[in-house]
Amino acid sequence: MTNSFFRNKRGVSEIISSLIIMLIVTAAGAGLYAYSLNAFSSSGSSFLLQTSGKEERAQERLLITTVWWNDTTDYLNVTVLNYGKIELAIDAVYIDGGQVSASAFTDGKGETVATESLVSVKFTSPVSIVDGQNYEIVAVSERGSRYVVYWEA
Amino acid sequence: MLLILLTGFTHYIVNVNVTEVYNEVLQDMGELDLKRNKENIEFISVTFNDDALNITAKNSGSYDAHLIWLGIFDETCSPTTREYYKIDFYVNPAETVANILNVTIPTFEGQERVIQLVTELGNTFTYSYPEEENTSIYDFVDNNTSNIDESDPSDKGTHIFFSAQKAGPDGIYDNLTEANTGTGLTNTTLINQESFEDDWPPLLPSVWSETGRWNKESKEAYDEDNSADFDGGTSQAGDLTTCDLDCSDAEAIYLDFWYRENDAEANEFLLKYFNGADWNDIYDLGSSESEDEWLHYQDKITDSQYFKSTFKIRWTADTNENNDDCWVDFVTVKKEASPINYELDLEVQWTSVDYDEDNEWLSIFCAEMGNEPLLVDVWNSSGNDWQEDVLTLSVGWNSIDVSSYLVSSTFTIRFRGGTETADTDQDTWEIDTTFLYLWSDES
Repeated sequence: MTNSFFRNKRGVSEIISSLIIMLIVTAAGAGLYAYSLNAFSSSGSSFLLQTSGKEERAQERLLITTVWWNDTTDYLNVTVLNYGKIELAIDAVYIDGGQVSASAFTDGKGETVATESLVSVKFTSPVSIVDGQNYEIVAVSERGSRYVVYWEA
Repeated sequence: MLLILLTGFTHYIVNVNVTEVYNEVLQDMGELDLKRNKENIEFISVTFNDDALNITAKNSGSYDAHLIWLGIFDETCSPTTREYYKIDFYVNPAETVANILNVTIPTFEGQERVIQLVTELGNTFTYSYPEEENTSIYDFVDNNTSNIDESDPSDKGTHIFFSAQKAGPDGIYDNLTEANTGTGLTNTTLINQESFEDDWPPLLPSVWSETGRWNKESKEAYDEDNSADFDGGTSQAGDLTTCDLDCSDAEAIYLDFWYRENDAEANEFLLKYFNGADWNDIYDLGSSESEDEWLHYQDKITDSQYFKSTFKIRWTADTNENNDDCWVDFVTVKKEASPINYELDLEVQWTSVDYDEDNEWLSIFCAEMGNEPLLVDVWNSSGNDWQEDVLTLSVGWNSIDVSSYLVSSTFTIRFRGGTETADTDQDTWEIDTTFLYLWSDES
């Protein structure tokens, strides 16, 4: 039985074997191409996204034109000018390193500011404001640009 | 494989393009920041015309300025208010633009406000309205014509460009130069009764010279024992010459000596003067009929060609036979000249001075200074005299508190040389600016 098996000289034809090999190579090539396409695409997208973010941030310019305190309402008002090439929105404000909580804002936070426009950001200060005292105020945009001003109450 | 390479290359090209765009953005924003740093707006005036705000501003920066917001801050009320008004004004470099306004701004004429101009490049420029009174004054010197001490002459020395003191420091100077105030004429003896008794040739005032047979001898003498003697002979010639006699400042030269000759004929015994270039024959001492006796020669030289620092006198003997002897004795030379004394005494004065400020300083900026000290005196009106030497000027800034002397609207100082007697050197000093710096301390 065993001998007859090894002595049997019949097998697949050369055509069939060629087809099988072509099928395997094609499948492997297609898989490799699909993988590389995915890899290029994901890395390219990541790069584009990262560069686009940096580009937008580079185009951002903000300036605190004035700060004043309404001692009646205890609101601090920060007027911000967008003098960049792209619209922006104020995302956070820090007073002497302390972040103004989202609930403390009454105006201006997240509001889209067109170029050459002003936005008045109004909030309750996380630190008490004392007349004559100096404070460091930092305004931060949603893209992460920041502007620092030192203000005397 | 080809597709993979093609895809990779495509992504590479896209990434390169994106990077280039990003770099261009960075460059554009860098230029914007540069322009922003060079932007400057000056408020010229803020007025109201028929209740309408009228701002005049000048662009003193390097680039066009676009004014986009006008802020009006009222800090006199509680709570303070900050209002912004949209504006749209372009101001070219060095251009002054008036009527910067927004018609919706309510009038605040006469009330205190802070006005802020905001530019497109992100700069703010503020102005306090109404304009604060400037209590810091630079009051430049007004005139150089006063003679508060009634001195005669009123000035000693000269200004070359007094107006230069009225501004600066700007590298434009007024040169103060001393004048020679020496007066009258005085005689100075250059050779004092030289009778040739000691050294030969004489050494006073410095070494004389002689050629040929000139010598000192006792054979003949007008004064004491010796005289200068030339023993004549066939083809014997020689000169007796004084040293250089500085007569550059002379107005007259007096020559006095005694001479004698024996058998000298005309042109054998000559007196000559040196004018700095040539020897001129002055008198033929051998032409005299009076031989073998002492003759007196006197001359007052007024010809200015001899008023030289190398003026000299020469006696020339040129004889043709024995016994043509010549003698000179008891030589005196004097010059008549004005004494030299360079002085500086120049008043400068302020009028309409704001003399009631808390701080009142005199400031003078000097450039190149002469060797002689330059002093400043201040007129003390209460004592009606000069308070001398309040400053000894040196190169650069020189300042002093003059509040104790500035008690009226007129203030006078004078520049004075440090050496005012026997000063034979003429000095010049460069003054850039002279002013009073007046200010009051903030309350």
